[in-house]
Amino acid sequence: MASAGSGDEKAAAAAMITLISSDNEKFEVTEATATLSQTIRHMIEDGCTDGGVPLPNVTSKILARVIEYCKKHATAAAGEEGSSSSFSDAAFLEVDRAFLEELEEFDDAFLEVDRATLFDLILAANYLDIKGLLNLTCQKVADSVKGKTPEQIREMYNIVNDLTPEEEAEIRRETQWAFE
Amino acid sequence: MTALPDDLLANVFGRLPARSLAASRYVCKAWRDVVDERRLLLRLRHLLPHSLRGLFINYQDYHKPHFFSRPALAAAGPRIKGKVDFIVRKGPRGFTWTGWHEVADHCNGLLLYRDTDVNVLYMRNPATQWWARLPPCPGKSGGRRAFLVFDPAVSPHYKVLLAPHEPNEQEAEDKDAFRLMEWPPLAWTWHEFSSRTGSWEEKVFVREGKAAGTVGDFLLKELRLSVVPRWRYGAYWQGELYIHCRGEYVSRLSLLDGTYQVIKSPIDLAECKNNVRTFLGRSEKGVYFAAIDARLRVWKFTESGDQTGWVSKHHSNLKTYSWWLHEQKYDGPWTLDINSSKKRNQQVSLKQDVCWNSDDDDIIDVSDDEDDSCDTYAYVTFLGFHPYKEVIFLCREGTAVAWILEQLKGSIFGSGIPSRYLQSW
Repeated sequence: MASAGSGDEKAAAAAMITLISSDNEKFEVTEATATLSQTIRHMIEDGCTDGGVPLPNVTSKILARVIEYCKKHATAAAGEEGSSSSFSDAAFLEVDRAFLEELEEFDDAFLEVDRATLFDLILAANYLDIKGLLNLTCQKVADSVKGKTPEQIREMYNIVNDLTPEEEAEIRRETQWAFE
Repeated sequence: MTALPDDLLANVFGRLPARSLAASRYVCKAWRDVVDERRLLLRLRHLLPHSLRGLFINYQDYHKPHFFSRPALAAAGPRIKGKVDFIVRKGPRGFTWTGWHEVADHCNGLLLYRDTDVNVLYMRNPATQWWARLPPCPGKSGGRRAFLVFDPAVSPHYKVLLAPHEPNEQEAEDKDAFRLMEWPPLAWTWHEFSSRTGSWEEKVFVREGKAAGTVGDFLLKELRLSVVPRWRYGAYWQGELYIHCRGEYVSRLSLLDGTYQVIKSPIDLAECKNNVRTFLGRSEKGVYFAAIDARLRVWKFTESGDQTGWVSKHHSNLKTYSWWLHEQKYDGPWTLDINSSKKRNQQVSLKQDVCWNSDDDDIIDVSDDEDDSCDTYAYVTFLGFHPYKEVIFLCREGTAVAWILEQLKGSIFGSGIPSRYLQSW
């Protein structure tokens, strides 16, 4: 770690955090990127990030994706803050809109993953407490379920129907309005 | 998906519309349990945007209720069908026709119909077209008032309460003891249908506090009210059913503990005798009571700490002449679901921007600036309380007016209501 640097280097280095995945891979990220995770933000506030932050619940494959997401969204957040003073309102709105569009495109592309990865991302987002990522991934799953019949959902997610015929009849009776 | 813990599964479910959530409950035990334990379905339905899509209007001299709505709203959301085609009679050679029926009650989007020919009750959701015929109630059900209790935020099940017969002169003839009996009785026996069990049961409500009077009092007062049309007279609010009893009192039945109370109405007996017409219903903040003579007065039932009673919300004179003047200028966009309104509909579309929308609250002031002196008495019909806003719907000779209580203002929102007798909504 570049903790012995001087001047500017020192300030930049102080803002770097090392994340350690469950398979012991190390990722160096800026504090701005890392603090999108509330879990890590609290660790930083408590001053217990020296020597890296071990994340035993997250594999390197998933952590790399999570960092990719955080980097993008941290930049977007910084860009919004920085631009407000240097542009006129109209220009600012234009930039703002461009940012949002770009971010949306990024998110869409980011979600192009297989189901197992998507679930791992949800688990990681939950563990690291990254609201935006959790919203994004849960919404993706919800969208996949929306409008499907119970049979289609079971097939899609390999779920075995363990309801007894009596239970099925009960459910059907209780929510009759949903099956017409 | 099985890899997700319950909390995250619930997060996903929380993003589903009601229908998909209901389908998810049907996937497997684990999913059903997550939805049920967290009451997701109920919460979701509670949070559904409340919107008023229209009014059902019963007629005294027409065989079915009409649906009065704003055509512009028809595009959004599920289509509400006013027409009921399940109440049918079959004649010889396959000939069928629709029986005489009316809306007996409604509660949170469900309607209770009564086939008045054969006195059979039906349940219906006008948005999904779902319907069910209720089994006959034990004993005589003719002439008994029926009330619907349904709150999707509490349970997906509904109940129908059938009031007992009220005492009549024949019964009381030469029976002084009967005349001196308290009314309503200490133990008041109703019938309750529950969609959970699918059957009728006797339900006894035990009175807390004083009775309204005696059977004798009741019979005396009945005479002068014999011509009053049968309005929808109940309001369900927070586990309790409020029943309008001829203007002088309100019975409040607690469905949770089987008790009931008699609540004095905000007007006194002298007023009841003076041709004031009174109505009870649910609106934005609870249960409201309206009285119409040449004035419109509205109260809300309040119960906070030691203060229980009716709080005045509105008091104004009904200057219906100005409504008439306005009606000459504007047509409301709301129309009835009958053919004769179609022609009118076309003219109306040009003027739509000046009209009241139940969701937007555009207001045209029809309340004042007209000269009082040219106001002649007109019979104002009560159409109903807005379920989610402090607005009531009135009608005078075919002109429907939405009266916004707080602002002492009204707005014409529809016209072309045929001049048949309006009965309820």
